[in-house]
Amino acid sequence: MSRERNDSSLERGIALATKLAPFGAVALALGAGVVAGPPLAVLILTGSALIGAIATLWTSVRALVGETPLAPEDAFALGAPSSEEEQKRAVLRAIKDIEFERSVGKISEEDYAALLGRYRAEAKRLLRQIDEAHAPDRARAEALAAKHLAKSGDAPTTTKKPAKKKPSAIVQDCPECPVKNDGDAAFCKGCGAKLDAEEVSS
Amino acid sequence: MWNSLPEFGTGVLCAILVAAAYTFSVALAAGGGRPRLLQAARSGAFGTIALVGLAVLVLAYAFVSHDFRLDYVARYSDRTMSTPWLIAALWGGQDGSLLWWLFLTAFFSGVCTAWLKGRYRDLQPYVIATQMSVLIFLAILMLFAANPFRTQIGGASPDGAGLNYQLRNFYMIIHPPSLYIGFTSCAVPFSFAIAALVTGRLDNEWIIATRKWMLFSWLFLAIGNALGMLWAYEELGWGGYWAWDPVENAAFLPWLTASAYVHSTMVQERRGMLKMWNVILICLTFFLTYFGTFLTRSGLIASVHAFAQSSIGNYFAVYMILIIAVSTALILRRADKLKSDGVFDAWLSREFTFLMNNWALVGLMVFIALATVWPRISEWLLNQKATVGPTFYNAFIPPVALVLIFLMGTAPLLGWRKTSARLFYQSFTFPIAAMVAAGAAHVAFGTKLGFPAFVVSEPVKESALWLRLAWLQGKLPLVTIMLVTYNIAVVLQEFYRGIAARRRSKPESVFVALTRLVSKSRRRYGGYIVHVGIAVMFFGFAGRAWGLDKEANLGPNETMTIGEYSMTYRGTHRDVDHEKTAVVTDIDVMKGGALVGQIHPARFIYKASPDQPSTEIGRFSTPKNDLYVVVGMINPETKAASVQAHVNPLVSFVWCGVMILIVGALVAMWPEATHAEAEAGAFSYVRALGTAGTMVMLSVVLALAPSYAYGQQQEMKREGFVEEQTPKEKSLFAQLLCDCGTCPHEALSTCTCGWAHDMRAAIRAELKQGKTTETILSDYAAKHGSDAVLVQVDEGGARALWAVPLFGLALGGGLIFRFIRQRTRSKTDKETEDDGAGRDAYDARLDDELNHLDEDP
Repeated sequence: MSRERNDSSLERGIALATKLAPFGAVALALGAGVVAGPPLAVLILTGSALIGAIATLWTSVRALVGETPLAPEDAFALGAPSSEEEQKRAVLRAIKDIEFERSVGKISEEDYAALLGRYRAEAKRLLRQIDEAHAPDRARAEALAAKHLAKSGDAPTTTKKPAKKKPSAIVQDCPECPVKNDGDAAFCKGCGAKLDAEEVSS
Repeated sequence: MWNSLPEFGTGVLCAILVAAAYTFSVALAAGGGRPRLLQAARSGAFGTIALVGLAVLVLAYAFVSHDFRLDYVARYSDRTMSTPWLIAALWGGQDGSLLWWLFLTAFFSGVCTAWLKGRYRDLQPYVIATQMSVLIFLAILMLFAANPFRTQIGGASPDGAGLNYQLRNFYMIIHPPSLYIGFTSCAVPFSFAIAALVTGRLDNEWIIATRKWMLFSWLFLAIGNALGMLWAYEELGWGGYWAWDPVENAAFLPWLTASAYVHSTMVQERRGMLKMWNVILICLTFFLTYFGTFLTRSGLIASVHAFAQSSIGNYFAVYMILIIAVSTALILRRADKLKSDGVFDAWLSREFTFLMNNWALVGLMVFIALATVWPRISEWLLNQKATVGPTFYNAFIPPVALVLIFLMGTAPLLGWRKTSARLFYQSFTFPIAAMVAAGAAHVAFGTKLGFPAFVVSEPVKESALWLRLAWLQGKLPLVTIMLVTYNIAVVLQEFYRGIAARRRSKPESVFVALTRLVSKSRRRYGGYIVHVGIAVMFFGFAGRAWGLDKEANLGPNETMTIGEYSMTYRGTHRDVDHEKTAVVTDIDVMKGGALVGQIHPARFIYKASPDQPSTEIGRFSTPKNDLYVVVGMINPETKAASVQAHVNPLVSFVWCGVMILIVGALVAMWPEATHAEAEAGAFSYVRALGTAGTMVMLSVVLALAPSYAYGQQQEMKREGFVEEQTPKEKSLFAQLLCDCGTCPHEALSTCTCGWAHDMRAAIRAELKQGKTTETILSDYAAKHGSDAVLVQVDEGGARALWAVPLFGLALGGGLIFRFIRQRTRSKTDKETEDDGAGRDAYDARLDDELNHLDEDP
């Protein structure tokens, strides 16, 4: 377990290094260029590129064999708009567009009404889809919030029970790292921290 | 100091191949939604890209450390070159430019992979895999056919041959890279299209993901082509900017399909139609970028640009076949999913004009592509050597292009789905009135201003086809001016209506309303600005019809007149620097009797190549016209100089139009300042930086004019004559190719060499003796070979050159007609429409989101 903990701090180190190293290399190369001329500058950049290539490929192989924790972005696509979200945006744009076209007198009222109706129907369909896609997450978040409130004694008495789900569909978050684990797991597969299996199945 | 550098470089190329293959397979395996593998693939992609960067740096190191063991380094650099030129030499030759191509492709995959983080997770694996497959191809190509790390057979030479002096100029540093940026970034939309096809997620998702990437490629192709035009105008010294050279065409073809795509994609976004067509356009654009390279590199078609003939043509041919095979197979597999959702409502709709626009753009593309490869087709099918020259293109392309210009103006006036007759008249009144007024004004005052509405266009030959074409060409100036006015009027009206609508609903000043209007719908108004840019460019192209050309041999203090200018040749002076001797002429330019300026066309004699002096043009520019002067031979004793002068009306408008086009494209692409993009917008910054940088570069180019022009010169002995080209001579010279053996087979009308000069004089004499054009053409062909005369498109199998594309255009038009007829909604058809009765909780949310959509962050 301690090895794995070391790994994750190593991971953070690598992440930081990959962010800073290019700047360092360029600065070093510039300095060398000024002092010793272009060949050394290019040579330093060459060396850095080699190190960069080795480091990224090494990360890739480690990710492949499962030695690194999953990056949260890859695991959940956090914060990224889903395709429905993007499509919804496009439809909303389209609605704005026809509103605009009506305002400059490019489409007649009846065409506007017909088009608007169609786009609104599409947008609502997408909204519904997005809601459905978010439903499990929302339920889980509500459950966690309710539990937290219950612990602190502020639980409103009218708290709705979260949506019921089959236990097999449940995944649980690790309290220590951002890895998702199976509902019945006792330890996190990412960092090895102890998981409370009952916590989420309640 | 580094004994095994060549082997190391080759080793890095091997490593690129291995890493790309690894990433490719991991990415494919990640396709089933396995995030861990996807993460590995992403890192693998970055690793591969770092290796490509490493390869470029190793080569750069070889250049800066003068490692002449490498054949490539020895051929394209020497010890006297300064570091910036050494770096520019990286793409000065074939192998290095392919490495540069590989690098840019890798760079864009890197930017794309970084941008993809957390988005389009279903498409992502296949996007990465497709990009890696491109890198695999390029790595194989470099390893086996064009390895820049190949060593010289005889060991290291003490010094290199040096970069060709013709390549040592500012344009060489920026023209190829900007075209390459356009070419290589086309791989990104292509990889999205392939990913969408593989996953079957063919609705708007990938369209939305690719549209800005495509716009980016489109912009850089446009900039690259514009720089090519500037280069030709400033460097080649024949007085024009576009010679329909095969390589120019090759760079122009993907731009046409990309233009078609940026329009048809809107039809899919809005109406869910043309899905199949959009996929085809993307694949075609990508294919054409490789086709262009293939043309340049394989030595298949003779051209000014062509690199040395080599075996890489075969690799490209195989890869192109592979692209076609894979794309076609995937499209056929997904044919059912590529069916349109929408239906056409009416002929008078924006969808319809977009379809027509695609028809014309793709038609143009086919026209130009066929003419470009015609020499080979003719050899294979007709067993006849043939050359297609500017005469053909200039006769056939402008009419089709003007149809396109008309559609470009019309489309913004029509609404989506349908435009009622009343609104149609309302929208069209002003632009049509402006167009008619401009036409009338042109007919009335054109001649007085020196721009007559109708010009006499001399037919190339007295055949039915050419007589008709000449008649048409004589009318084109008026048509162009009218259509340009029409387009500008349309855009002005659009802006006016937009501003008026805003000010009706909110009390805003005109300026505020304008800025808000544009910033709220960047793509729409950016597109309109691009339209204005293209219209202005066409205004500049129209100037060609009124151009004047004159040749003279002037002694010191002799004067010649051309158009409104008279030029007095004052003599020469010499400038010597460490690499060349410049013989600079001083010519006073007078207009209406008053001295307006002095120009200094020159001849540069480089120490490295004294037998190939170059010519520098002299240019006196006003908005109305350019006086463009090239000096040929200068007699060292008498100082008499042979002078070629051109008056090129309205050329500045071409460059002005390009600048407007760039501004418009930037407006359209400017990242929307949404929260998500501002945070994760690596791409948006790269894009903004890249385009801003290019803008600066382009303005520097425009400021630096005039630059150096190169042409080969031979001894010339005559003195003291002035010849003006009659239209007949002009059209005849354009038909004949220079056979001096040193220039790349340019037309007699444009070649600046002494051989061409003599030949022109001889032909003029023959014409005076009363010889017909036909006899002169056939005599010339008999003397210099059938490919020294441009292909006679009014006889034999060469008719296919215009008949096939025209037939294709007609066929395409028919297909579109049928397609629309089939897909036009019958009155009883119903779609899922919100009837308004079922308002639910979602309506409130929708209204809320709509209200917040345009809020300034």
